[in-house]
Amino acid sequence: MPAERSGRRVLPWARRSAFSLPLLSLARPAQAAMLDLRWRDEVTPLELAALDAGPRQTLTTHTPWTSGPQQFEGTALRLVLPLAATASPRLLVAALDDHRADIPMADVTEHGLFLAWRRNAALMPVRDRGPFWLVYPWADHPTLDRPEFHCRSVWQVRAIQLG
Amino acid sequence: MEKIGPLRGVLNGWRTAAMAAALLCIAIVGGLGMGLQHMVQRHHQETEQNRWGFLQVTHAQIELHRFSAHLARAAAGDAEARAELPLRLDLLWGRINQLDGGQHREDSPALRQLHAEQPAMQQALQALETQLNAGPPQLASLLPLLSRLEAPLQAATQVAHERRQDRVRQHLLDIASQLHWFSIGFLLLTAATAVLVALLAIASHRAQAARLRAEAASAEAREANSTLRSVIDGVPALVSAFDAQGRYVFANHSVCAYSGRTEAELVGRSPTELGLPETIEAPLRRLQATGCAGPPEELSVPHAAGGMRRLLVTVAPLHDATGVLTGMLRISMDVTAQRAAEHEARHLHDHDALTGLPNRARFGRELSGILATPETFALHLIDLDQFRLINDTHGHATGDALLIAFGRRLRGMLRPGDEVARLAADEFAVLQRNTKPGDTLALAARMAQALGQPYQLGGSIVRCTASIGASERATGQPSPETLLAQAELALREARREGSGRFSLFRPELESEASERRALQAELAAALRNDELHLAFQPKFTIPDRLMTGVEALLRWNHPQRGAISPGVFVPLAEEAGLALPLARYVLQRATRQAMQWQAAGHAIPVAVNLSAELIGLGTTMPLVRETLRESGLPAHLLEIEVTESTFIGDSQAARDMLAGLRAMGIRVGLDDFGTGFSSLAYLQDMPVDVIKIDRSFVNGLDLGGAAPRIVETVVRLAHGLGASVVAEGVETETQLLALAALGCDVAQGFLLARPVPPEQILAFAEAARPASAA
Repeated sequence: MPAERSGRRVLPWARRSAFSLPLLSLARPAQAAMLDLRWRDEVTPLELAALDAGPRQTLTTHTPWTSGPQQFEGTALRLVLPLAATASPRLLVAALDDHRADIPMADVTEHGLFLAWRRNAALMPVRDRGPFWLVYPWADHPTLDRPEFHCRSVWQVRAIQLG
Repeated sequence: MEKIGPLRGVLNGWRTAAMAAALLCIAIVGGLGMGLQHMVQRHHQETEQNRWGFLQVTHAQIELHRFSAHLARAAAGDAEARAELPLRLDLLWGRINQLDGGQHREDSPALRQLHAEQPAMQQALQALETQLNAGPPQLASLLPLLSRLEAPLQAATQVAHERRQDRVRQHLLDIASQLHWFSIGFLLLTAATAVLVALLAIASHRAQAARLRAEAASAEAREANSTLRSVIDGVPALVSAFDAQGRYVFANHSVCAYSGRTEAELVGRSPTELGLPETIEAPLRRLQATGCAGPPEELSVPHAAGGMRRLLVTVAPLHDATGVLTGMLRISMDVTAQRAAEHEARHLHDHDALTGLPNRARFGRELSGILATPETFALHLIDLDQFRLINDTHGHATGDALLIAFGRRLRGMLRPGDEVARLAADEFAVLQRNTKPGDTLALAARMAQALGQPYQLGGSIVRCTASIGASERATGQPSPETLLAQAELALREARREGSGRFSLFRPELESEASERRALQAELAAALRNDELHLAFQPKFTIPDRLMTGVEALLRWNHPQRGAISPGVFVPLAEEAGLALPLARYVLQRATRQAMQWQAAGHAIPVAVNLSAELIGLGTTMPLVRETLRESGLPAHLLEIEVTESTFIGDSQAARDMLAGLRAMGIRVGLDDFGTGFSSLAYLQDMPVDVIKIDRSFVNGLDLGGAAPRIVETVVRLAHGLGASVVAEGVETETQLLALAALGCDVAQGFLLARPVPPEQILAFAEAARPASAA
């Protein structure tokens, strides 16, 4: 199990792709396309390159900030969280610009909260809401198309804290 | 009998047409009511959209300020800020791109305006990026680029404000045009009802004639009567008919309900006999007198259920075949709700929706109006200190509630005739009229005092203070803009002095403002060019006067202006975002100097002041750790001095950081003790090593009074907490003797030693050595 290092939890699908976790380095340059998952005092950095090399799902939806349907590629957030972590009541999402949002876990487990890193086929740069953007399947579930969900759709995601 | 059949046919035809006309009118009037409702809804929706656009622009402004702050620090040599610049630029870029607004752009005037500016802003970003990639940031060439970004954003915020006014004006026009249609609907209704009543009269007349001839005719007439009755009763207007003498012959349901009488009570008597309101009779009397109806009139008429309502009243004469006036018809419509909507629109136009106070536009008109008279008056600008912090910690609902309470309290402090307005989010203004010399400052002081009292909002108590800047018009014709700008300068001065202060404009403030900006630029350059230096003031034990340590004091010898006091340039540096580079400079120099003394054989503890703004900031702790590591100075030889204001706001981050410093072995001192903060509660869980008694208490030792008891209390308190006590600003032998008697441990001041260059410190150390060895 090459991905297993110092007993760190391995992401369900990451095990399938030949993806190995990089060594924990907190002093990394702020711009590296990475997303920190924090759970039970552990930090699991997800590297964009590694995620992108794995299997990707597609979500086509409109958003309140763009015109026309957008094709997002990424993964349902549920799939990158450790299975046991979905028992936490909520997630705290932090963005590069220090924006923070508090999201109930139900959005992940029931409403299909989606972690996108490609929009209309291209990777998203920071200046275009990248590298990670949390979107909801608004097109398929119009009941989610409400301001309370809009403000949980965080872009430029830097870290996700569980629990 | 033979006449009845054709009449019935005519009646039936007329009846159907009249009923259709009446229903049409009801539909029109009802539809207009719903139209008004719809407009109010649309107004709310537009407000929401405008706010969304406004928020986007604000986000961009915040990101721009963050970028500028990083840039200033990077230009001053802060490597960390320099490394983070590309990310900050990207985030700014993202915010500027987002101003595109997507599908919302067309809804927000601020975003629509910015759309045109976007290419220019993106060019400025591009230029910024090119310059940043080319080498170390040069503020001089980057600042113009920043202002190319800032100007459109500021203009857009302005537009968002103005467009709100425009929208309310539009709302008003919409209501006016609706009311126009409303009057046309009313005329149609009048015409249709007149026809109906005429038919009713004909039907009754014929029925009476017929009754003389045949029994069957009366049944016919009753049927015709009741059909017409029910139509007229259903009309949403007050319909009544009178005979030529002004006595009721007919009144529909609405009239009965409005006057609180039954039709039986009304018929055959005049309104005056019945004691009904006089106002509504005027049009009837005029008709009786002149025989001519005149235009519809709007009258205030008391309702039977109490209260006045607005009625639109029209009267029409009924003539017989020879042209003699046989009766009069009166139709009135209740337009109270429409007038209220119109009134609300007027109010919206010049009042703030949250607090109900007049808004900037209305205040501007008041100001221009009073400037046209020779009256002396004062203008106060009032700002809630740290309103953003309250919004962040208590939520926006509490923030809104605070603004309402604040506005109400402010309103309650003014004399009748004075004006108060809300100019922007947390900015209020007061127009104090008919001022006599001294009035302005007296009111400002009273407002600062009262507005600083705690606010009870729902279940919680919120503390906040207000800063006030005032300007006066004594004589002459200053423009409203000049007065506002002068008050703004005074406000800035008040804010610089701390929270809850007030200040009155003086001409010097104008020159001071431009001088301050120049100084800030020079300070950034001085920091870069290494033109600052440190002086060290020794501290001595009491009573043997041996040096136990030094305090590092930053000095700036300006090439033209000479020595500039830290009391002047440190706040300037903080204002310009240079607090951290300045702290780094002092820490590096002080620790290096202490190492040199150590190399010369003297372990001299050195104290460094850190501004309250830096304590609790994530970057400060690593800075201290790194500086210690680089210099190699043992941690116990470094003392960090903070002021009490660090603990205002119950900042957990500040406590954590000071505890972290102590855990590293660094000593923590509390500077200016007794001046800043009234509560000692923070000392319970915030252990400190040194407490420095403020010089004002030491000065007081010469003067008698309470100072000795205060010093004694502080000494006991400090010793009880395990801290040593340093007295600052000791200038006379008497003070030193008193301090010794009160048990103070260490003294610092001109009596013992002034701040000196580092070379001279060794002499003091040499003097201390034999004694301490003994």
